[in-house]
Amino acid sequence: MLIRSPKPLHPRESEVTDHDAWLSRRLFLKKGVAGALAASTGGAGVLLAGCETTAVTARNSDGKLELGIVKPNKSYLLPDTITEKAAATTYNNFYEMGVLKSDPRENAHLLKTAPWSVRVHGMVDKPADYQLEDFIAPHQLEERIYRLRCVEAWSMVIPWVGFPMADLIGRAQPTSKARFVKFTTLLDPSMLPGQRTPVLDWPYVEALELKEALHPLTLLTVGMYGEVLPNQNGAPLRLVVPWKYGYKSIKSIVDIEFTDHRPVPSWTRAAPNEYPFYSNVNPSVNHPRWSQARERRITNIPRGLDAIGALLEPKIETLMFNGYPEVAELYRGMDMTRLF
Amino acid sequence: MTLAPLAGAVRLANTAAWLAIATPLALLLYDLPAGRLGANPIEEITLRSGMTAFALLAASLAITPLRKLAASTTSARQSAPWIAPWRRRLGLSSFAYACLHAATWFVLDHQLDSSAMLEDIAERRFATAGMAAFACLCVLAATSSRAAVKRLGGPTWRRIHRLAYAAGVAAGLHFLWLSKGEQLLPWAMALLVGLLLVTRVVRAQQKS
Ligand code: HEM
Repeated sequence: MLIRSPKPLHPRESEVTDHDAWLSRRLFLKKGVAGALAASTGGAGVLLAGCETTAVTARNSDGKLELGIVKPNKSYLLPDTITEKAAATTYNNFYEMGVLKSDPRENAHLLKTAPWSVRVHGMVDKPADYQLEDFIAPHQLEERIYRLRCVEAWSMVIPWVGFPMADLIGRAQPTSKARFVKFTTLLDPSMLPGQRTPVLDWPYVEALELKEALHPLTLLTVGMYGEVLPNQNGAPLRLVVPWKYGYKSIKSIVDIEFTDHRPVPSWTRAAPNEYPFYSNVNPSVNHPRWSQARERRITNIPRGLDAIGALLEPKIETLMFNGYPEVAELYRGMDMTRLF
Repeated sequence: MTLAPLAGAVRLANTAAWLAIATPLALLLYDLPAGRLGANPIEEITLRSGMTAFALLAASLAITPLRKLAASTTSARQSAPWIAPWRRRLGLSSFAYACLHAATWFVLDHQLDSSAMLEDIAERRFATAGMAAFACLCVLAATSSRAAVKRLGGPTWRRIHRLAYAAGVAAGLHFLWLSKGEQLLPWAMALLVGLLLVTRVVRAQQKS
């Protein structure tokens, strides 16, 4: 298993402390003293006597998921303004819940995330059917602030809570034959009403090369903004692959399969020239649908005069690999303008 | 047979129709400062204005078939003079929303970056079709006055105004090509335009 310590991106001293203070304050409110202590010591010594229960993610008596201790990972801070939660939870592409950006929020209540099971199988030494809480429990949750770039040329900056996909891969122990990881979303039209219309070939499927899945940036995500994922954002378990267009970051995952042949993701099947397998954010690609050179950064839901200002706000330049150049090594020797 | 008792009803119906046409614009102006256009107001304005422009264009194209239908029943014949002017009014209203739609794209989305816009129009078929639809609507609007009818002469004017169907077809393609996946609404709208085109062709053949 290969675990590299990630290179710091562009952390700013002021943000680091601010964010720490903010997070420990929040944890204090949420979890009491133990959580605050853990956060202020950077997560070390989490298992203080008697505090084990707060260390892992579990379901409370109502069956609701409660996140365990969350460490902020200071290697993944950004100078960008964090998108307000109200914007990130009301403007979503989640076609299982409808094709309008406002649909997922409106249909979110239909999705029941407890109980939730996750199947890990295929070319692995340790296949298993997990209950969600057992799936998450052994892993240290961390908070990372990532850019999210949609292929529709808009972007957000979101504090996710999750654990590296590489940690799960370490647990599942893929065999030497495994080369790809295939992810599948829940198929249940009663909970995901968008699946009643054939917008895509349901269930939604996404896939990564194993080496992409192992990259330290690839995050299995269970929360955002310090809380459990809202349903419209892909609860209870989603992927976040920040250097790829948003549709690669599959939501509401129930199945993770390791395989030796390249799976065909749902959008790739629908339009291979628009949504190819890699789908790395690349401003120089001449995309058939949207220019990818620039993006509209979404920071909030503008109101009043602010709304007029937002109309006049120019787009910003899109960065190669969405500003995560450290992934370039995964694609050495490949023509990234064709295989973007 | 007197139209006098109808005059009040017609006025009322006309007012209602104008209010219906103005409603999407009023809602936009109300929803914008209220934050109801959501996190990406430019996109929401584009979608609403585009949808309204398309619906009004389809309504305009439906006026003649509706008149023929009305004329086939004696009692409704009297409503024909009321309906007739709406072909032009709906067409111009569609043009107004198309202007808002296009201006949103030119000014807010692209900030008048002409090379980026030309690239989109040249290389992205949904933008090519949108631009073609808009160009048709511009020609139609510019030749919509009574003076223009006189200047061009009836037959030429009628030939030019067949562009309304070209605008409908281009707008239908535009909508189909810009929607992702297999969505119902663009197909439904395209089907509607297709039906209107067919009735137009049938009428033309019946005349000749
Ligand atoms: C200058 C030419 C035009 C350009 C550049 C243009 C561009 C666009 C763009 C960028 C979108 C939004 C795509 C998205 O966010 O997914 C859109 C949507 C749309 N446009 Fe246009 N458009 C043009 C003309 C027209 C015209 C003339 C009509 C109708 C008469 C029209 C009807 C529509 C419709 C129906 C939608 C989709 C609305 C929805 O999804 O609810 N467009 N157009």
